[in-house]
Amino acid sequence: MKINKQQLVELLVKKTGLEQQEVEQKLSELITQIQETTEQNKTFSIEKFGSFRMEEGVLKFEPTEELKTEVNNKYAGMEPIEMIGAYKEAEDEHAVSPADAKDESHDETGGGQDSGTEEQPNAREHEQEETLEEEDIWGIKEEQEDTAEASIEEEQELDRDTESESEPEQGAPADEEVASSGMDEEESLEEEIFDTDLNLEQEEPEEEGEETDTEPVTAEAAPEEEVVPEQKKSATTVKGVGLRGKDRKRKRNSSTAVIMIAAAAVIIIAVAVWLAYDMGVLSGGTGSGSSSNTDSQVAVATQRDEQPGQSDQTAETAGAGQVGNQQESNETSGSESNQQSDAGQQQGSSETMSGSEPETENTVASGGGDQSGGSTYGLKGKIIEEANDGYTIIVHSLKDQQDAREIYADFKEQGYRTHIVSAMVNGQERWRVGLGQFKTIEEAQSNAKELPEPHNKDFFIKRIK
Amino acid sequence: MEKEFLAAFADIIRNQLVRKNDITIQGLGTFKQEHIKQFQQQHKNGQVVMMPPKDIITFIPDKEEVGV
Repeated sequence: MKINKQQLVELLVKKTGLEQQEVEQKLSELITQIQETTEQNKTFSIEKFGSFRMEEGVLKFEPTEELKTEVNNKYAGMEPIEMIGAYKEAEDEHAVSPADAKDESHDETGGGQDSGTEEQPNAREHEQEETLEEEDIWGIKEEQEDTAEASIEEEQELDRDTESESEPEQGAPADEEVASSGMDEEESLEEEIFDTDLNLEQEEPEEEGEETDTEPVTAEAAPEEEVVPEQKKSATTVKGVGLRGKDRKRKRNSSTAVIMIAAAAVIIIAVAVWLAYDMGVLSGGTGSGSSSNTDSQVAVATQRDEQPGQSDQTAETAGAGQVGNQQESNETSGSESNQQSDAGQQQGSSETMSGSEPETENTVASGGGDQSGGSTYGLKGKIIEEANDGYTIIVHSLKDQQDAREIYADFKEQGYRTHIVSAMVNGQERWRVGLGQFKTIEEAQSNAKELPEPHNKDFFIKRIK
Repeated sequence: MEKEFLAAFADIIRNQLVRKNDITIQGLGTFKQEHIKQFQQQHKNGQVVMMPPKDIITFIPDKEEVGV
């Protein structure tokens, strides 16, 4: 759709709410203003639109970035894509296939559109055609030149090979043979050059020798067919030199190989040690240690089962160093534990008195605050109130209190230290069944992993109080 | 007032351009929206890239009026 001045005026009237006459007047004012300013070689810019300026007697309009992106919104953010595998030498820029040439010419015209917008479309097309032709011509020329150069180079090579022979009447097959022998020579020469890097002093005389070898050959070169085998000989001798050089290289390789093998061995050993560590050869030992620890804990727990009265006592002595702490915790703990805390206080005071109760003696005897310190907390046995400041493994969380009670009883029968705690979860009451009493979360976790299926995977750890 | 008018003028031309309409203003020139297809381009270092397609604004000045 095309919009002319009249339609623009109508749109402006709608937009501004002014009278048509007024709009027309303003628009013509604007146009003359733009013309005047640009003719004074100044730029006339309109906010959020663009700027007009005069360039070589032609009015140009440069839109703002905003407007550019707004118009180009469909393709905004697209980046040039690198054509993988389309890499060409910069020199061969014009030596491209016709199809490519088309593209390039198109690209050039595209560039032209970018900068010089005043071009008429027809003119552009015409130019494109011209450039196309030019490109084609260029391509052909370049290719021809290329081949010409290549052939010249080949000739030069041949000349080099048959320097002093230089008889133009040479038969074609002989030529080929010479060329091939020349190739051999070149190859061995390359090898030699490689060797010279390694051992300059030795190589120099050899090179001279070779030169002297070849020189007579070229001098005798008049009979064409004799030349070939002799040159081949020289080539083979040179090859021999090359082989000798290879031997040297091998020696070097062997010494480096020894180093390589040693390094590889070190790496393998390191990896093996690391793997062993990782796979649990070392950690297995610690694992067994921990399991034995738990065994002893269980043993202690069973002992306690046998002597129910004693467990409390051991608990007391466990905290022997922390009697004060225990008392504090007891004070804070529930009313149920008041009795025991009283007992604890008594014992704390009566320890030195070798108390009125016989059990205190037992606890002192089993003593070893360290040993019993491990048994204050544990998975099995009876609940020890003092250990209620620790953590427990929650294995069930049920809505129904009756179910929870049944499970609680089950676990208790199996000899676990079982808790039953009610908790509010999302406004609903839940009955949680917890096993064991542990001082740290880590302890609880390690113990939880040794629980029977499925509790060793489906659990969480919670502070008891 | 002048500024308001300028803003309105710019806005209308913008809108029309986005709608792919050509705007011809006698005495000034023609605003056009043009589409450029994607094309291959070779950098000086020999790298060949595919340039993305794009829509651009072209302005063709009114030849009769300008330069008088």
